[in-house]
Order: sequence, then C-alpha cells, then structure tokens
Amino acid sequence: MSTLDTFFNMGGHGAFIWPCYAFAALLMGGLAINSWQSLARRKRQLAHLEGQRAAIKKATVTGAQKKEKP
Amino acid sequence: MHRFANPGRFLRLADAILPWVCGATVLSFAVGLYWALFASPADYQQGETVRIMYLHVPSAWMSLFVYIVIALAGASSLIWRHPLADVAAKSAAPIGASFAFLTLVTGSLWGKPMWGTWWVWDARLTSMLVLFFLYLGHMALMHAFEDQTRGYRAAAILALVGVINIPIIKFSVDWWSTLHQPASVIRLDGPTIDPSMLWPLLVMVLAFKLFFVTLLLVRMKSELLAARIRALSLAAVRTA
Repeated sequence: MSTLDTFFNMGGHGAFIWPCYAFAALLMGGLAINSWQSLARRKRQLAHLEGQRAAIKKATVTGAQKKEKP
Repeated sequence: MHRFANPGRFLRLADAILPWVCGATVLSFAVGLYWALFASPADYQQGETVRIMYLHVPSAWMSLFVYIVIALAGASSLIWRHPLADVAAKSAAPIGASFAFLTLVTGSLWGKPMWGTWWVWDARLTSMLVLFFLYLGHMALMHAFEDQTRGYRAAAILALVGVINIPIIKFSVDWWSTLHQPASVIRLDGPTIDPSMLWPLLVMVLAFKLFFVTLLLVRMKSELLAARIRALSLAAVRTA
C-alpha cells in the first residue's frame, strides 16, 4: 500500500474521518460564501437606492429653481 | 462597550479589523489542519479516529460559546435597548446552529466506529440536540412576526431561557451515567490529553473562534445594510 493510500485509509477508519472533514468544509464554506454574497448583494442594492434618491433630490431642486425663475 | 453601539462607528471598526481577522482565520486553519491531519499521532485506543476530535471538540465548544453570546445580546437588547444587540444575535444564530449541527454529525461519525452506534439518547447527546433546536427556534422567532421588534424580543427571551441548557450540556457527563467520555481538557486538575494532541486541538479551537468573529462581522455589516435599505425603500414609497 502506498503512503498516500495509507494516509487516506486512516487505519481503516477513512470512511468515517473524511466525511467529517468534507461535511465541515461544505457547511462552513457554504456559510462563508452565503454571508459574503449577501453582503455584496446588499451593498449593490444600497448603492442603487442611494443613486436613485440622489437623482430624485437633484430633479426636485432643479424643478424648484426653474419655477422660481420665470 | 456602549461606545461601539453606534452602527456607523461599528461599521468603521469592522471594516478596519475584518481583513486581519480573516487572514488570521485562514492562517490558523492552515496550521491547525496540517497539525491535525499530518503532524499529530494516532491515539493508543481510538487509533486514527482521534482526528475527528479536531473538528468535533472546537465545533461543540463554539456552539456553546455562540449561544452564550446570543443570550448576552438578548439581555443587552431587553435591558439597555442596545441598538446592535439584536443585529448581533440575528447574525450569530445561523453560525451557532451550523456549529451545533457539525457537532452532532461529527459525533455521530465518531460514535459508529468507537461505540458501535450512530446515536444514543444519553444526556450529552440529547442536550446537544436540544441546543440545536434552540438555535432553530431562535432563528424562527426572529422572523415570525411582521413587527420585527416583537420577533427580536421573543427570540431574546427564548435565548435567555435556553441558557439553562448550557451547564446541562457541560456537566451532563458528570451528573448522569452517559456513553460520552468525561471532560479531558477543561478540568480542575488540568487537561488529561497528551500535549501532542492538545496543541493541534487548541489551534483548531482558535481557528473556529476566528472563523466565528469573521462571519459575525460580515453578517452584522450585511444586516445593518439591510436595515438602511428598508429605511430608504420606505422613504421612497412615502415620497412617491
């Protein structure tokens, strides 16, 4: 048996040990990806909303100035 | 502590420390995993299955720690109306639930070769399962009401009531006759675990702790942005 096979076999308990590490990687990796994706999505949403708000404010101010100058 | 209660100040602080905590998490996981999988010996009784301990113990400790954090946040929210307390509790709950679930799964995968069974209804395992359900209940309550404040209050009360389960989990192996082995690290007379296994375990505990801090900061930032989005959307609807 090669060194690599011995390592993955883990004394005959590889079938229990590796699923633990794989599950931990999936669960914690998934949680990390989900958290960062959610933050990035909300950053985009907020930037979009703030852009809209600034545009509306600008349009309101311009409209009011036009009304003042006949 | 109240100095950081201001969400703006918290966001600036989180932005400054996040890259460092994130880097420390990756580094400690790299060292801890190398030590756990390659550089630590097999146990004289458990053999190679001892390597499951390097995931099982840190996730179990963290699931208890995160629950205490949530309960403290709940108390801060109920007593002082701390503006970040509910955000912290909401952000921490899914991380704690994941740790509790990981503890149950890794424990089960260790139990089969060592005890000959995936599961037994003994005090330690059952109280750990109760903790997982408490996390799920907390998360469900937070989203259960149309009025967000009511949901947060109900979840905070559940978190405080559920704290009783923490000493039950910790001392279950001493109070009842269980299949689960007694404590071997946090003991009055010192750890009984060999240093060649204790050190990799402590590095993995540090890695899990840093992972929690990193994700907590990211999720809290995300929640604060969500609150700002809600406020802006509401303002837009009012002006329309």
